[in-house]
Amino acid sequence: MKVSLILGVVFSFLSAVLAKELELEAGNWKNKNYLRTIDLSRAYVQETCLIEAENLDSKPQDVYYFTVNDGFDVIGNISLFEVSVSNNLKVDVENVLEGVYKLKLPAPVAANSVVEIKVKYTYTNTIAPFPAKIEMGDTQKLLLKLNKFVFSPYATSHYTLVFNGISKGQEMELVLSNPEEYGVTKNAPDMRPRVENKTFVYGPSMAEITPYTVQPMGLLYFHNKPLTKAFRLDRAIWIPASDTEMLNIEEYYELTNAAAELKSGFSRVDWMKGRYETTKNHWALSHLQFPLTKGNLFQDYYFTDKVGMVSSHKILSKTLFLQPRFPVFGGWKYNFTLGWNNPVKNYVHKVVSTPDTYIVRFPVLNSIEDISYDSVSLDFYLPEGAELLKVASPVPYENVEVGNELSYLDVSKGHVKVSLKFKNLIDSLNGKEVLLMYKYTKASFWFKALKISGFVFVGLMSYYILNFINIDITSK
Amino acid sequence: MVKKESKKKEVSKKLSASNSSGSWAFPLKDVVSAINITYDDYIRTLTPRLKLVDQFLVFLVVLGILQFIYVLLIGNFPFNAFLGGFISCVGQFVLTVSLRLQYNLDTTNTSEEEIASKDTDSDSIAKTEELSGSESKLTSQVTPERAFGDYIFASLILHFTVYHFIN
Amino acid sequence: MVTSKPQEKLFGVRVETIRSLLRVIIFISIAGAAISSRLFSVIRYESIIHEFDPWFNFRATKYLVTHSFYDFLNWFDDRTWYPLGRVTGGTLYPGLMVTSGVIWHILREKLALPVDIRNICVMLAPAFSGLTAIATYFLTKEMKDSNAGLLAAIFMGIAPGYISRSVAGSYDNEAISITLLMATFYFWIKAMKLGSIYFATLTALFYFYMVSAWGGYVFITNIIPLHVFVLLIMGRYSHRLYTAYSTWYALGTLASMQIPFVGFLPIRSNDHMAALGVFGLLQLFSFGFYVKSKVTGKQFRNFLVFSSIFVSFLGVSALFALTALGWIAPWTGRFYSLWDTNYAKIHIPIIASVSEHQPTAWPAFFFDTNMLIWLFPAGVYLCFQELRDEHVFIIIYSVLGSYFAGVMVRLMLTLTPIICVSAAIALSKMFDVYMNLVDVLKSNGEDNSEETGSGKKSKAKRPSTNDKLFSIVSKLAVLLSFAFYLVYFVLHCTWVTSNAYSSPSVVLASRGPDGSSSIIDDYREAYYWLRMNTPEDAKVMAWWDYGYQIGGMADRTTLVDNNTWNNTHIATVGKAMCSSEEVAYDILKKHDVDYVLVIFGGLLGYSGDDLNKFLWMVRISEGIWPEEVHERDFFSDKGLYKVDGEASKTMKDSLMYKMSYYRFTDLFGGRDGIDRVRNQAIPLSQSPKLNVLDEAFTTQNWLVRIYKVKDLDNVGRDLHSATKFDESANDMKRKRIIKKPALDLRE
Repeated sequence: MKVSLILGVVFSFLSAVLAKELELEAGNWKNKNYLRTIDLSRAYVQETCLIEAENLDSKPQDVYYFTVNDGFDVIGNISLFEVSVSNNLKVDVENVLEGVYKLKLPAPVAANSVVEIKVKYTYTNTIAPFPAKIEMGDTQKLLLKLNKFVFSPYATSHYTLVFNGISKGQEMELVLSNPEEYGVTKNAPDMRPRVENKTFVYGPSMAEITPYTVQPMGLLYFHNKPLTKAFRLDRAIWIPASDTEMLNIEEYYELTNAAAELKSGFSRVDWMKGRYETTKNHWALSHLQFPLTKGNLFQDYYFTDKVGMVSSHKILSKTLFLQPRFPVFGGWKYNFTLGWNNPVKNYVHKVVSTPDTYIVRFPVLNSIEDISYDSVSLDFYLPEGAELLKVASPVPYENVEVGNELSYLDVSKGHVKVSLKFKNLIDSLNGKEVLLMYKYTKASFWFKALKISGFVFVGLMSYYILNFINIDITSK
Repeated sequence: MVKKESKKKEVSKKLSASNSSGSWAFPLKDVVSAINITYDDYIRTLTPRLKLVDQFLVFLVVLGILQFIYVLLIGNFPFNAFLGGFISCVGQFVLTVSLRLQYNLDTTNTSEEEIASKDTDSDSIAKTEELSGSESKLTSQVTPERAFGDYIFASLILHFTVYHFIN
Repeated sequence: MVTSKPQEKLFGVRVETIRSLLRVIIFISIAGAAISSRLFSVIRYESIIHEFDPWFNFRATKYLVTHSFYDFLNWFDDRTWYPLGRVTGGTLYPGLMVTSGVIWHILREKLALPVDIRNICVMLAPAFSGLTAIATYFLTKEMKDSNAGLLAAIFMGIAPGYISRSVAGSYDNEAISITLLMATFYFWIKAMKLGSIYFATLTALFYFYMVSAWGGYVFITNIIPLHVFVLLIMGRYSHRLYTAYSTWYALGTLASMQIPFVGFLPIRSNDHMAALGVFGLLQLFSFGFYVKSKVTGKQFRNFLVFSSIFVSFLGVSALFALTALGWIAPWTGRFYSLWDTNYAKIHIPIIASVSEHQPTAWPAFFFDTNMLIWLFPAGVYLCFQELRDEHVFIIIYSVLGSYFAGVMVRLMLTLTPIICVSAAIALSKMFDVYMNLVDVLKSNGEDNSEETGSGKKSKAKRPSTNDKLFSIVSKLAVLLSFAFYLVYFVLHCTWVTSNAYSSPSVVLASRGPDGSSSIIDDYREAYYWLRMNTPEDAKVMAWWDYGYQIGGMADRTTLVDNNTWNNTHIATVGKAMCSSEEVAYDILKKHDVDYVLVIFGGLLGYSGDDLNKFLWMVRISEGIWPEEVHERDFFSDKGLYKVDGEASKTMKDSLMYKMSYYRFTDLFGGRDGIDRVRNQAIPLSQSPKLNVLDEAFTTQNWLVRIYKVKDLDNVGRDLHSATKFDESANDMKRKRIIKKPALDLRE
């Protein structure tokens, strides 16, 4: 704890220094208008920043630095980072430092003209229940800690902060134990909240906000839903050697619920009386819902955990419902395995131009709704003897490993295992597809078949010969 | 063990003779004579091969007794080692006796002269035995070679286990 | 099934070839039938380990395949019998685990089939049952002929008495040891018939395998010497007998001592002494025979008298001396309970508390073997008629087997094979007689002397064609009725297997009022909850029945389990369950217990729950602490076992009662709670309060309830008053929380 604290301090210090240095090349911009929208309807936080930036320099500029609105190390893990400029043009994003992004605009912006930048990012592990332990019948309240102002290298003249996705909220004052180290800004402008169109709005503030303003604030809001989180998800995709078979998918989840913990032990009486399971309005996780899509119907699915099959599952109106063995309250864990089949043709395609080459398009996630993943391993098992040509992913991955895995009737080194490691994913990445190109020749298919039959033949022959020898001995 | 038993019996007979009454004297004489006859017969029927087997048997008995005495005198600290040694003696002894019986079995129904040429004539022996009822028909399947092969097989297993037992 | 000469040809193929081909096909289909009828549970439920003991075997197997073999033999398990631990490697029969471990390795490394070890464990018993059928075939073939062998094989394959212990998932020692039992007996008979060292060695090897697999090997250790002894008494000594027995004994005994759990028992315990005695006796006999062949009859008689008196005197006195000196262990309790069914009840309640150690009820025999049970005596009778050496074996086996099966339900298992064998002998004999239709048809003028088996009937029919017709009709009638019996037998077996023996008992099936079946999975719910949501080193206290399951499924440390080696420890748990909270709390704290688990069937109507076993807990702990626990105190004034308003005070104060009914009445909305197992009402006013435990988890149907042991109160009050104080101070506390206005973020 101490160490991490010190490290954090050092790091923030460093980043501040670097950021100051960056300022030299950061160029000369001004945020004419900064609209920050924070969506709290989910188990993670989605923040959208609409920035109208004005070029104050005398010559055109095309580099804009964006810093995540943090300033005092409260934002957990950034999961998704998307940028677009006014007319959806492509923006090159470079992650210079943690929380600092260098945006290369598609075209230089002329002096004194304005560009509209939309930054959308998601972060996980930031919200926590407060109080951390409640009774089963209580409504869960979550506390979001955030910087009330913009943590930008540029000055901001017009600033609005909007929270949506909450029914009831309350601002809390956050007192840091060490405000100096984070450089909490002393005389930040005062902003009062109001409710507008089911949202919670601060501002707009007309006063100029200096660069790197830090003003900690807490937002306590009602959120009576589980905060589903998977520590780990292993997705194994077994690609068969011929296209007549089914593609096998098996997922192993290590699931937890980051929601409030039970103050006292779990009382079945209260759980039954409250009918929380049927009303589904509770912060305990009692159902997992996997949406069925056209390409993915969860054929022949199975739901098991470490002690065997779980019988509580069904498909109802285009959703696969899994019910864990017990309702997962805050801090509880539930590990399970879900497997299913899919026709190969949905995912594997033969490349027409080059022989023996195949392309796999497979979604990064077949996710349940409203969940965040700490670490995901996407493992493709290519047929034995295949050769990996190329991997492409719309979501940045940590690394790719290529290895071998011995499986049923593998005669040589085994299936080729290609595993992609991801960190901090969320359910909205559902549709994104990983592309994988591999080469698999007919020769290696027949080679395997022949080798297996050869082994069987040798086995039978040796049995025959052994028999022969045996007889020899006994008739001595 | 055949010999050991006989010696033991003789000793016991003497012991019992010393404190038993006169009415026991007559059967006692029978017993002594029985042993004598047996012994004589044994000497008479001994062939070189059987002699070798019997010497081996005696050796095993002596070895077993030595081990036993060792345990009585010094103590049985590595108990499994003693057991291994002792049982290997007993086991080997029993196996050898069985082998000897199987050798002997072939000779019991035929005259003693044939023993020397037994190897060549085993077929004819089998034929003669086939006539002598179903029981011996079964045993006739055990030819001396087969018996010896079995014997080696069993001995191998015995000694492997002993080896494993002693560590 | 018509006996024909080997030279006969059918469609140009030798009949012998056809016959052996048919035999192979029949074997395959028998094995197929045996295996598939055991798969009901997998089809109906899933591939899961059943019952209690198999969970331990499964856990041990997993340990074996993840560690080295030597680690396994030296395995000290500190996750059971807390705080004592268990020298698991030295106190188990490793045969079963080693078998499946070897299969696992072969499949994985040699055949490139990385099968999950759980599936191997689940399928081991059915696979071995196929082998049992084949071993039974060979055994019966030695007794009569191959026709009887095939019948015996199919009987063995589907007899419910054996299926009860070998359905898929019943991964217990018995699963493989019945196969080994049959194989050992087969090789014994073979060795004894042939006087072959080779077969005797095989007998010893299979005996060794059997010793490594099941404690029931003592059955073999005693039945073979008994067989030899009876043969000796009948004057049937032969050198073949000597060879077979001596080889088996010397090799088998030595080999059996390789198993750590058995150790030096074969030379120390009384259970094994009969074998040693017969071994010695046989040596004397062989010597005697040698002498006899040389001397006259009278001399020999005297010699015999002398030596036998002397030797038996020596032997008996040595036995007594050694027992007195403590070199030879006296007979164990389980052994005594075999002779006196009341012994266990009086002296060792823990043995008596196991349902499978109860004496068998009469219908069970019919239930488990159906028509075989009345063919069984007929088969034994036929053995008496012929009375060759091997038939003596059958007779001895059937007498002993019947007795033991009568004493203990679970020994039904050892009886079943012999029932199958002798029933097959009887039935095949009958078929031999009645199926001879060919002879009846063609025997007009001929004098068919071969037809000796048909006996009276064939003689009677010869004079006229009318009689012949009658005899055909009567034969057909008998045959058809037996065919009907056989069909009915198969139906019965299937029915029994699918209804009675295919339930994993970890998962329960229930039927709703509308006939729909649903699965009650409370055990696994609770165990998985423990596994997921308690610290890895948490200690769980439960009655010993659930020890193996908790170890296997919840992977948590237990205090006691189904390996009931320490009676005192079990009694301690029993005492904690049956005494008041204050007393129990001391015990719980002394044993570092974090969670207490009870099985409560009151809501579901599940009769095998802890309250129904409660009296055994009381009795066992009374055995150790007679002055603190009294069984009488747990009965109501009228002397009845009551849990309702009339329950005695001791009962209501006991931890078990409180844990079972804690907040039970809340379910009934202001009325008294109804316990559906005992059909008694739990009065609302007397709903128990718990001071030293917190409810931690209760499963969906309330079958398993888990309580967390409270920590010691930090003010130093005893928990009873602390609970009271907390109740009154509840409102105050709430206010305090509200008072905190702003947040204080300190990282």
